[in-house]
Amino acid sequence: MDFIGLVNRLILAFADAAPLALVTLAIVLIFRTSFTTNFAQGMIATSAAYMVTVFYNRYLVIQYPDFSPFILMMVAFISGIVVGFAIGVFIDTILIRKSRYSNVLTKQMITMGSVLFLMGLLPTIFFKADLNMPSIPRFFTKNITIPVGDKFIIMQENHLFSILIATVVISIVFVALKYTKWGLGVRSTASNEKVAGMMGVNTKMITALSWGIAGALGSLGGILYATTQTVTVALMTEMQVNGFLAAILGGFSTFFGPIVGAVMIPVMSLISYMISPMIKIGDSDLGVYYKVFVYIIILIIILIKPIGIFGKKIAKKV
Amino acid sequence: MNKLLKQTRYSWNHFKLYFKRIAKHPFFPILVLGFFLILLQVIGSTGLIRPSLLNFISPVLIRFMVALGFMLLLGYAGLASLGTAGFMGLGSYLIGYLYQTMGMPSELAFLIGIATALVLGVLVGFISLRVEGMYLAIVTLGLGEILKNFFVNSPLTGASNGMRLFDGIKILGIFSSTSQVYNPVYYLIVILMILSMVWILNIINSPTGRAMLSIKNSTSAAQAMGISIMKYRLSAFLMATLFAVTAGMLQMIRTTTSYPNSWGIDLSLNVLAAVVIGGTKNIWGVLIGTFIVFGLKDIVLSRIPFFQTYNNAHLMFSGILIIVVVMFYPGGVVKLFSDLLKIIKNVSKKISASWKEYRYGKEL
Repeated sequence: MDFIGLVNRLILAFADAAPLALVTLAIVLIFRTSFTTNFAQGMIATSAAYMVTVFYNRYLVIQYPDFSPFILMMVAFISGIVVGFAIGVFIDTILIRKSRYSNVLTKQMITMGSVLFLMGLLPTIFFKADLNMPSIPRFFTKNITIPVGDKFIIMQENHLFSILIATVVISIVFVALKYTKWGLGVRSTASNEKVAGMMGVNTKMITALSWGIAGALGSLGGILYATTQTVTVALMTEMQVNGFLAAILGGFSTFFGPIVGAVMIPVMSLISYMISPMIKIGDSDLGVYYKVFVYIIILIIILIKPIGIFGKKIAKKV
Repeated sequence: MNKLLKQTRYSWNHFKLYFKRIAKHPFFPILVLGFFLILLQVIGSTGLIRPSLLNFISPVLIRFMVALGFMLLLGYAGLASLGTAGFMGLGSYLIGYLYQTMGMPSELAFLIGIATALVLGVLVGFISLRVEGMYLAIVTLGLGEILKNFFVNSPLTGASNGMRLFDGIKILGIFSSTSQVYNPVYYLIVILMILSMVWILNIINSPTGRAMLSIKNSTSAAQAMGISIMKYRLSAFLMATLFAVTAGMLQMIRTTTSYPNSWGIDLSLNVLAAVVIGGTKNIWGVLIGTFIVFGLKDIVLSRIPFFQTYNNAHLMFSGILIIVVVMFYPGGVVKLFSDLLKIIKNVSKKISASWKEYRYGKEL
């Protein structure tokens, strides 16, 4: 593969990394405030994607044909993000907070139960729409081509758009974590929930808000990802697994580590995609297994350094 | 004559005593269950019961075996694993590949499958020593995803078309193919199920089970008491993988087909739901849970029109159940029975006391 082809592939890899980084940030945010891994993150995002698709294609376009599609798309996007926010807050305030016995395992179990529930609920609600579900409309549909010598660097505007949105949103969240009251609350809750509560931080409110923001972030990722895919229940399953692995790879104990992990995974998969066809056993090459290699490499890294590449070891008293 | 009567009465009493002693044995209900299940199939094969009413039993029993292994892992060793479906898929593809493509005898393929399960179990067990707690669920999720990715893409497994044993499969003299209405593999499944229930029950009631429980409650305290964490975590994972892979192989023998989409995350989550809903420390609870999650959809929910039109809605049902049980009733459904029994005993005590008061007057 020549240099220009590599650049094109890299842009695609970064376009994959954009929604992944959003989902990963959401997972880490919940992990830091609630001390649990949210397995429902992918399903929340899928719900939002369903919502946007059905709301736009089956309702808004038909009801308001006079408006410009740009405004309608904005409305649909925002409605999807609101749905994600609402589901996040619901899981925290109603399910987790009201449960009689709450520890790490039960919280995890509740999110797994939510996954099953949403998995059954979505095709049931959107039954008629599911039969021929159109994909989410794109804001930008053109390609940008830059001629370099006799070759072209081809960029889809949609991919650039999702990279831009993800970068902006993640930066906003990082700034908010550093400088706002909510961010201070999140950081103090993450370091010690009890002490933060004693110091006057409303930890319940912070946790609920974090769940909501995480739901919204994940939903944004899901919607951006769904513009390139058809919407099904299994839309975000792989993304979710990748998000977890990225979070472990970067280390759960920092906020920026997982983002680096999220960028690393698509790049690693690009490298594997280029290298694995060169390995030949008999007549067939191993090109079809390129994702398997990526996962195996990640697992090996995790086994060598379980706290993650950027993780800090936290000493615990017994 | 009188003497004979006395003798028979004596032997009847003797038999009654003997029966009482047997009935108290923990294996007795397992044998009764097995006998009942075999009886059901025998009656079914004479044509008295419709096959559609019986066909759901063997998939439920196969998943029950998986859930038994998972119960040991979750309820006793306190480790959550989400790679179950991947391991099941591995078993089913492995026996299919070895039997159909390599032309091995099915019994040898079964043994190779078990050996693979043991190797895999040791591997995952070592991972669990390195990666703890919440991270473990994620790592096993990744393992499951690796296996599923392999099934979907590899030409060895037939890729997305799935694998199908065209000429059926013969194991231990039992022939199985899709065209059979009553599949005789059912008996093999029941026998293996009984064996695994007995095995798990023995483990639970042995020092191994207690050691696992102590590790679950506090790793440091258990270590201080001289319990080797490595040994028990490894053995828990070994058992769980062994059961999962064996069940996958049985599934392949029973249905003779295997598709990559049936080994997704929803199966792993459903097995977890079965264990949590039933009760994480009781094999009968797990049986009830497995029936609720996997069996109810075929025998009860398929008769309700709502679930007929929306064929994914049963997932919603098990999702709600798992949340409710985790939130309000951590003991699981099986605890419901003992709690109900307690309530009934209390109420009957109160009633008899008030009856005595009414009959004989107040105690002075």
